[in-house]
Amino acid sequence: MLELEGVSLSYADKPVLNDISLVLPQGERLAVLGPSGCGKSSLLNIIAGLVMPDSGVLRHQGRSLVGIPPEQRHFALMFQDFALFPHLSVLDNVTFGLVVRGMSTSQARKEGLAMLASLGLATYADNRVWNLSGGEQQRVALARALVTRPALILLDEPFSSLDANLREGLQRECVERFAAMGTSMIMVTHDRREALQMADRIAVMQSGRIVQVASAAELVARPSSAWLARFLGWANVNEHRAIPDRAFILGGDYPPASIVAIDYDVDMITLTLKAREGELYRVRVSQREWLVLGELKESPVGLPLGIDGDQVIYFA
Amino acid sequence: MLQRRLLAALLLALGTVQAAELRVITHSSFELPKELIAGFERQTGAHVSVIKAGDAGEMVNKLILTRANPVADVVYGIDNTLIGKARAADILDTRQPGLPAVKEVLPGAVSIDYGYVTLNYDKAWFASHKKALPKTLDDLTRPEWRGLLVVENPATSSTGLGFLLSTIEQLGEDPAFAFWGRLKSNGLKVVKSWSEAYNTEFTRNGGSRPIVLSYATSPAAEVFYSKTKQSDSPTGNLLLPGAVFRQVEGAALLKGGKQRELGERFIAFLRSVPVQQALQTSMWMYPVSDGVALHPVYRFAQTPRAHQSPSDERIRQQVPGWISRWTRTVLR
Amino acid sequence: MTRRLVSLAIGVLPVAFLCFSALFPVLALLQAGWSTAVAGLLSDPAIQWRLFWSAAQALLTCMVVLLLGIPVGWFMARHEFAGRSMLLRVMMLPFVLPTLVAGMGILALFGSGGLAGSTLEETPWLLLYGNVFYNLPLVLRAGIEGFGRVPETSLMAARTLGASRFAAFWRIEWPLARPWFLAALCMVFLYCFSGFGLALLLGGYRYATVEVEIYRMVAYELNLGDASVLAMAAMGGALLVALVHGRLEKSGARPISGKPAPRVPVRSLAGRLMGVGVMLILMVFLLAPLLAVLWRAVASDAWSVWLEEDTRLALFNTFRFTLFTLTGVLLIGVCHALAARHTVLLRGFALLPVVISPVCVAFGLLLLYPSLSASLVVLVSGYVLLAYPFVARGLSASLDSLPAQLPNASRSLGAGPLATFYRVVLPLVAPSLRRGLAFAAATAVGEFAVTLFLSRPEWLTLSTLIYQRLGRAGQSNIAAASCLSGGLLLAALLAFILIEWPDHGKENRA
Repeated sequence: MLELEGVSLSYADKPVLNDISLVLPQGERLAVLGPSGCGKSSLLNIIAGLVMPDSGVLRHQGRSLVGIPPEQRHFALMFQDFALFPHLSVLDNVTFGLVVRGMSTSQARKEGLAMLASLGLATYADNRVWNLSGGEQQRVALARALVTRPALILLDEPFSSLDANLREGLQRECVERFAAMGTSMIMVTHDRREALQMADRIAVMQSGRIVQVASAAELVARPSSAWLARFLGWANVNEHRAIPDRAFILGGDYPPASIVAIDYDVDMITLTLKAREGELYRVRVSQREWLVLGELKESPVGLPLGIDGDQVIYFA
Repeated sequence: MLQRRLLAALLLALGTVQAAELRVITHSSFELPKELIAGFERQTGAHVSVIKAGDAGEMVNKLILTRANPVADVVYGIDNTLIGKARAADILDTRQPGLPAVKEVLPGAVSIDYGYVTLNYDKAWFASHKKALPKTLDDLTRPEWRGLLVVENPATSSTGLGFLLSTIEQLGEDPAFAFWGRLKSNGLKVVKSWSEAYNTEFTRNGGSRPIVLSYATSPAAEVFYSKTKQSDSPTGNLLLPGAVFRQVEGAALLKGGKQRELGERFIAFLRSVPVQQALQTSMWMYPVSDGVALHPVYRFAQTPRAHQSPSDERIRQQVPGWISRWTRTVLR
Repeated sequence: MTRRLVSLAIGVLPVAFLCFSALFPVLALLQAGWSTAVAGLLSDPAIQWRLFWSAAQALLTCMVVLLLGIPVGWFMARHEFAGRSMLLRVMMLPFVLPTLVAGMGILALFGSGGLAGSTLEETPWLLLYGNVFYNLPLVLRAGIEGFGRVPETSLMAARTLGASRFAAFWRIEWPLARPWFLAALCMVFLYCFSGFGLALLLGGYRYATVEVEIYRMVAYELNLGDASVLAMAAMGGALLVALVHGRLEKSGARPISGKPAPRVPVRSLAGRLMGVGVMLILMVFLLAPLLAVLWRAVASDAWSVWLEEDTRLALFNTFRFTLFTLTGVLLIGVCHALAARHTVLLRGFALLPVVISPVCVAFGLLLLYPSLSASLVVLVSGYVLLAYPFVARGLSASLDSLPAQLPNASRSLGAGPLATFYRVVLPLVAPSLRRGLAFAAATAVGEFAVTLFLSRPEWLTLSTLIYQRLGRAGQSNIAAASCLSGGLLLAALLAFILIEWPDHGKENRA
């Protein structure tokens, strides 16, 4: 089990990660989903031990990872650009992790060849890596990561430079292999399909924070914000601002009601408004209006769904 | 009126463009006050192009290489170690300008100045180390004076060659090389050029050698170029018998040169009193012309009474062999 | 087809230049000597020893600069610290310094009565020290670039696969940077082996190199026969190294892609300690002689030398010749690099100026074009010849690493070949071009082998003026020379800063 608690990081006073907490049970596949620049790669580098967080705790199997250098963490990292060593042959790339950990050359060679064979790469063993296609290179990178039997595999946008057909095949292959080996996986990606396809759970990151952690099905069903809904690929998302109808408010000037949470069902949107008790708000959606009474703090308000055909409407 | 002026200006411009050019090839140490050369140019209406061709030995070889198509009309800086070679290679015109006879002659050329290659010593060093000065060449090979001498390589430096020649003249060929062998075992240091020897090896300039192979005029130059006014030179001449070589430097018309008449006038100009006076403190050589007074600073340099210089002909024939024998003896 | 034709057309200029300024003169000299050549010369043990010693000292220098260059290069490629880019420029100053002045600076430190106390005089170490001083910059600049290109992800992959910091260096960073080091070492070897003047600084005559032997034979004995045999042998050896160099450069041309590892501030204790070590190495082998020269300049108290007419002339000429040289180098170097993209033979040609014997070139020029030999054209082409390999080679390398899509994209967006070159290719290769130009300027400002060529008093430059002053006895001459040397260093530093100026900001971000 990998645990992160309150991990924060900033570069040159610019916050990159803000109070990240995560728990990853052994064998689980987690995708960290977010747009570029949200800090997800930094998170991966912190887990790998390549970057030290400013604050926060990391534990693996109950053991603190503070001060443990990357080579002793036994997590393998895979990259978008494959990061194959250009001066080594395919086989030497694969056996690298074995040899540097002290395995004899002949044994490493045997295991490397077996791994290459199982990925259908046996004939490439002595090739130079830059002669391989992108898909082949990433398979070599996969072999290189798997052959060391890591407790956790970290993937940094691993398939984004591959074409669609290759990508899907390789994604399936990775999932199968990780499952077979009982290896945990953390993959950072900006591709929701990839996340949905490969991960057991998905953590969504926005601007250095985790905004939602959920299973794939849950995430699709209940994105926590309009931004996320859009990021997940909802085609028709409109935003409206709910403004308290001043006509009903006497002697006061109140800030617009803001929405704390949104939930929706087949025919109903539930808004959680930040509203004052006993005050009236008018919520206007397209042509229709509802009067909403603030009953409690953060009171849920149910609205019928589907004003304009099948358009989903959110309030923010 | 305007047209006439323009025409005159044009003619003048053309005139300067077409002014006769006298090409003078010389070694890199050549230096005369600019006003003197400008005066010569005004007098003759010609333009003097000075071409520096490296060290004197290098210059002569460059002249030999280009003798089919000479790069200059006049050469200045051929000395008695090179004149034989130059004549044998037939690069000098057989008819040289006739100028008043002087004591120091350079056959086949016109002697302009002369000087002595000799050893200099650092007075302060000898005083502070309470060491006596060596009296003979042989003293330099004794343990007492071990590791005190730096000389220039005769293969790349005319000073170095001068010293080798004077030792041979003094001791005879075989004994001279035996002397060099002993000198080598006594901690002799050999460097490429005078500049290196004097500026980096000589104790006076931060080196480790209090005796340096230089010129008899160097002590005077030390006073002349000292930063403060001095009543005595910080260096002195070590005029050991066999360590004084007289170098006679001259100018000559080159065979195939284009400006014979101008060349003759330039050589005469080099012998004129102003040049003969100026060269004493620009090139640090003695003037050959009799009537020219020595610069007062020369009293700081003892003029050698005797010198040991082989004949020009012997130099021509033997120098290549001597240099390779020296190289075998000293450097290997 | 047309592309080949265009590159051939572009290639005509550098090839013609190389032929007329270097190849033909050397051939002319060799031909002149050939009739009297005796191959038996090479069985002379003394000559054999000279060849052996030349190679041995060059090899030794290579080993030392490599050992020093790896840690310093690595540190400077990986770390950001105050004054880093200034240090990079200061590193090139040895190129500018006349050897005699450097010698005086070094002797002030290590000679008898030197500041360092113990004396290295009378040992080959001083020669080696001089060689290291002059050649370390070449290796450092290459090494910094080589280490600087190691992709960040390669390092991260290695570390997570179980490689310790050192194992990652030894198995990833060093192999990736090695081609850069080896290429620079080949240049160092060539400079030490066949270079004239640069290397043989303080060895006295016992440790002179083969090029000095050739110089002696040609310049003093006019023994063209022996000289041509020796020159052939030396150039053959140099050519061999040049071929090895070309081969290394080709094998090193494996595409390294990926964002280079960023430079980080020095934070950890180990980093600080290493920084101190690096500064110590730089201090001892590079900065100390420079500082000694500057100190001598300050102590010389000969400031009035800057007011002399000769100095003004020398400054003007130094500026003028540097400008001429840079123009020529830019023209010929760029043409050469562009043409060499499609013509492998031309690549080898770029090393010609380093392989050939400068003495043979100088005398060959005289033999071939006597009427031109005292003209500025020959002088400037001599400068250009010596300086332009820096530009041509660096530019070739960065053109190689330029992705082909970029010019193609530019063409498809409507830019013609010239506009593409000017707007896309040139800005991308500009850093290496600037670096090459800085080296070229250094060779032009410095003395190098120009003393071999015919010269004129009105062509007085700062370095020839320094030599002129050192050619006379007397303290005020030494003081003036010291003062001028200090000025030369500062002027060169200023030139380097100007040449590489716009690079400054980008470099920090990369």
